Amino acid sequence: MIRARTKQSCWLLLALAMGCQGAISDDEPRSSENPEIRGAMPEGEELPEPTGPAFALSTAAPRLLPLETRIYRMAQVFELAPEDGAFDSFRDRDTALGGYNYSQQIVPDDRWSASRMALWVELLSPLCEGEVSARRYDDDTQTLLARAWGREPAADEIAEFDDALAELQPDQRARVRCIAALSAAEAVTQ
Amino acid sequence: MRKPLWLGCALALACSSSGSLDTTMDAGVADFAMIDSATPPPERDRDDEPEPVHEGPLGAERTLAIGRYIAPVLLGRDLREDEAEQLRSSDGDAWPEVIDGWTGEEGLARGARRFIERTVRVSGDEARGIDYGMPGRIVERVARRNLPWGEILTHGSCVNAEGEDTECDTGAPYTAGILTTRSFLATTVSRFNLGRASALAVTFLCEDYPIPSDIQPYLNEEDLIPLFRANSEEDLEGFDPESVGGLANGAMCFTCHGQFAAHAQLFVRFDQQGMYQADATGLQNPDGMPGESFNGLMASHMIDELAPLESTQMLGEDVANLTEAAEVLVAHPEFNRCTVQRMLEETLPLEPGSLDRDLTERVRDLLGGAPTYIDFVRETFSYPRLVRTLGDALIQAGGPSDG
Repeated sequence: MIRARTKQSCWLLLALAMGCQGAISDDEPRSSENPEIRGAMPEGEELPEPTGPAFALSTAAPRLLPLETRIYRMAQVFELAPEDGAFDSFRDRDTALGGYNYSQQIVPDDRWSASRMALWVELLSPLCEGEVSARRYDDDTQTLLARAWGREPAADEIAEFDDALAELQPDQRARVRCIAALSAAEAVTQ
Repeated sequence: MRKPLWLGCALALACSSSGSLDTTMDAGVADFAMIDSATPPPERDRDDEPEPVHEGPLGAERTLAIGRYIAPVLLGRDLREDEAEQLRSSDGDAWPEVIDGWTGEEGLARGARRFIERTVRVSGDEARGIDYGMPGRIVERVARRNLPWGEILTHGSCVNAEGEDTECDTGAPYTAGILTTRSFLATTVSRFNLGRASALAVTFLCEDYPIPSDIQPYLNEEDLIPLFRANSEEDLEGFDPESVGGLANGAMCFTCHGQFAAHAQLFVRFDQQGMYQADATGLQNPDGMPGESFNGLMASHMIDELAPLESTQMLGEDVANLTEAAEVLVAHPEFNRCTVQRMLEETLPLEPGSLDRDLTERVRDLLGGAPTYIDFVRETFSYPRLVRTLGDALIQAGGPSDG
């Protein structure tokens, strides 16, 4: 009963995770023309350079990184070459993980969607279950996150991560840490 | 940028996939839920307020933030520690040098390939007898060898799956980089070759029809078939209403087709499968749909005597065929400006319509003749106004720019 409730909680959170993405449109900006600015430029006259921001970044949702980059970060964590066969299962599922193949009418999808998260974790789990890989970062969250996220984590991020996993039983902790670090948005999105 | 909610998402996934969850998980998951849905992100214990950014043109904090943001997209890897150290020790002044250090990296070439495949919307393996990977391999070749970027449209050979030179697969007696690959031609085919013409203009000039006439002058009206000369309702009187209704966007046909015609004519000898047919007539097939010619070819915009010819006008210059047209295109200032714009659109999540054209024009003006891919990357991402805009946005968003 408790197990069922726990799983339900997890999936509820997963639903929240989906909610994190907000309303994501497939529409990509195809044109960045700014007619007002363009129209204000007198021909043949050199205007002083504008001083304001040159563009605005969208905050609608983080974009998935190329699979190549996600594999690079896994390779850093597991201390393998990115070309290692251990990552073939990811390459084989490239399009399911957001990649594109226009010859098959599969267009890029840069969303970190729920189904994509689930597949990612499914593929990642066997790698994180190995005793050596799982235990490598037992006492070193900083190195684990630095390799998985491509930057040094802040102290509060390390604390948050460790606190969240503190109540896990020891036999699960290493594996879940590994999956969580490499499935976090910090690891897979821009 | 920090994404505190997403860490919770990943933790949730990690626990939901464990298969044998025990009772100790319950409290933990509840905690995650509280963190994620009910409370604001915890205050950062490093710097609550963004530090004042460097007042100079670049600055270590800004360039570190940018390098860490764009390297994973452009290179398929993270910024290395030695690169980060270069930026710190130079207060960001070494940023152009760091970018130059990416020259020749395999990851950079693959990133260039992703950039164009996603922009042109052509990729894949062999399918239906067409090699859909050919355009991407040409782009990879150009970036890997640090050739002028315009060679993606002018390269004199195609590249096979082994990375070796090979003849392009259209059977045409000339080459024009990715433009003379069957995959590009088959993907963009449409009646009157409007899709292929649009692919040129939209992708490589960032212009849709009607294009400003100082960039693409109009052809002589008399050279077009009567339908496309129309500029008013009166001009359309006497045409079959069904044909006009199906083709024309209002009565101002010449406004767009007076330019479409110039670019579409380049493709009059390429059939639906992208194969070159030297004996193409360009004439309308009376039994086909409007815009369809014979043998899988598309009809020309031009009057009968001009319809079979590949010679036309590109950006105001007379050209004999697609090769010459591509050479004119890549030499035009708008090609470089558009490449800067497309690179920004692919690399950054821009708010639609927010990119100031002035930025792309000023970066273009720094590029000089025959810039390579790395030249575009360096001049774009080290341009002071871009560094200020992007660097400050990333810093304000809370992403640790230096750890």
